[in-house]
Amino acid sequence: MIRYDCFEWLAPQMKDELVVTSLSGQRVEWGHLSHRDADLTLGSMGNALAVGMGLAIALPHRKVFVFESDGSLLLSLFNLPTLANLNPPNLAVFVFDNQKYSGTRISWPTATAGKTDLAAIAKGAGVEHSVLIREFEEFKREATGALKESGLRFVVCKIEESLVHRKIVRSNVDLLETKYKFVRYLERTEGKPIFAGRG
Amino acid sequence: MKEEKAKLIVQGMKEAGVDFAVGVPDAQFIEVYKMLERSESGIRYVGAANEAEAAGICMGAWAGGKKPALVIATSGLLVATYHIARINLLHEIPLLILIPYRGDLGDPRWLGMYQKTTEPALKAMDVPYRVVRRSEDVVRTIKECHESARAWLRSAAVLFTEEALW
Repeated sequence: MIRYDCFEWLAPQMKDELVVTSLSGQRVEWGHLSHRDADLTLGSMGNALAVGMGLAIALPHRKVFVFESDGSLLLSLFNLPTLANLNPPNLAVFVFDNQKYSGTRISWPTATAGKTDLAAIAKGAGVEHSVLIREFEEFKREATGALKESGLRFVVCKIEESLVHRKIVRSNVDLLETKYKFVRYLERTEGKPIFAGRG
Repeated sequence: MKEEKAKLIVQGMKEAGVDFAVGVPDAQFIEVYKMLERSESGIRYVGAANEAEAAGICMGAWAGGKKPALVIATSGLLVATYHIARINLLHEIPLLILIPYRGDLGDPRWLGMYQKTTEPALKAMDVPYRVVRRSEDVVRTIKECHESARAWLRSAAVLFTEEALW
C-alpha cells in the first residue's frame, strides 16, 4: 500500500471534514492533493493527534481526521491513553506507518520496523477500534467507515516507504497562513468569532 | 493550598472567559483541579497524561472556538517546551498558561531547580508572563494576561508563588 494512493482516493471524498496532519511526507502529499480550507497541515512531529483531540472535543458535531506517521506517534505515545479515555466519537486517526523516519532527506528505521505494533499499543491503551491494515481495499473500507459512521477509529496503515513527497514541489504557504485559512474557515462555518484580532 | 485561594484562580479563569482547561494535576494546584472537574465551574476540564499533549489539546480547542487555559506544574512546563515553542512561535496561538511557581521564595521545599528553569524557559519561548505574589492580584492578573494573549495572538503565562497560594 502506498500512502499517496490512499490520499489520492480519499481527498475527493472530503467535504466539510476537518483534517489535521503531522509533519513530513504526508503533509506534503495531502497538501498537494487537497486544497481545502478545512485542512490544518501542521509542520510538527508529535502534535497532530493532540490538536485533533482538542478540535474533536471543541466541535463534537464535526468529523475530524488526523493523519499521523509512525515517527510522529512514537514521539507522542502519551496521547493514546488520553485518546482512549476521551473516546471522541467524531475522531478518526490514520497512522501511515512506513517503518521509517522518512522526511525530505533521511530514511532510517523506526521501532515499528522492529517489534513494535502501534495498533496493539493503542488497543492496550484502551482504544476499542484499533486495527492494523496492509491492503488498499482495507484502507478504503476503514476510510469509508470513518466518513459515514460515528465512533472513534484508530487505523494503522502499514505502507511501503515511498518517496513521492520528495518529488512534489513544496507549497509556499506559510504556517501562519495555514492557521488563518483554517480558523477563518471555522469562523465562517461555525458562525462564531475565534480571532480576537490585533486591530 | 488553601481552598479560598483555589477559588480565586477559578474565579479569575471564569471572569477572563476561559471555558476549557487542560492539565496534569500536581500537589500545588490540586484544589484548582478539583474545582475545575466539577461541572458547576462552567469550565470543561480535560485531564491529559502529559503536559506536551495538554498544550496540543489546548491548541485544537482554541481553533475550534474555545478559550482554553493550560494548567500545569513548573516541571510540566519543561515537559511541554517543544510543543509550546512551536505553538507560540510558529503558529502564534493564544494559550493562557497557569503555573504554580515552585522554587520561589516562600516555597517550604527546596525546588530551586524550577526557580532556575521556569522564567528562562518562558523567555526562550517568547511567552510573556507575570509573577503573582499576592492573592489579591490573582483574579486581575489572570484576566489581563488572557486578554493580552487573545489580542496579541501569543501565549501568556501567570506564575503563582507560594505567598499567593497559601
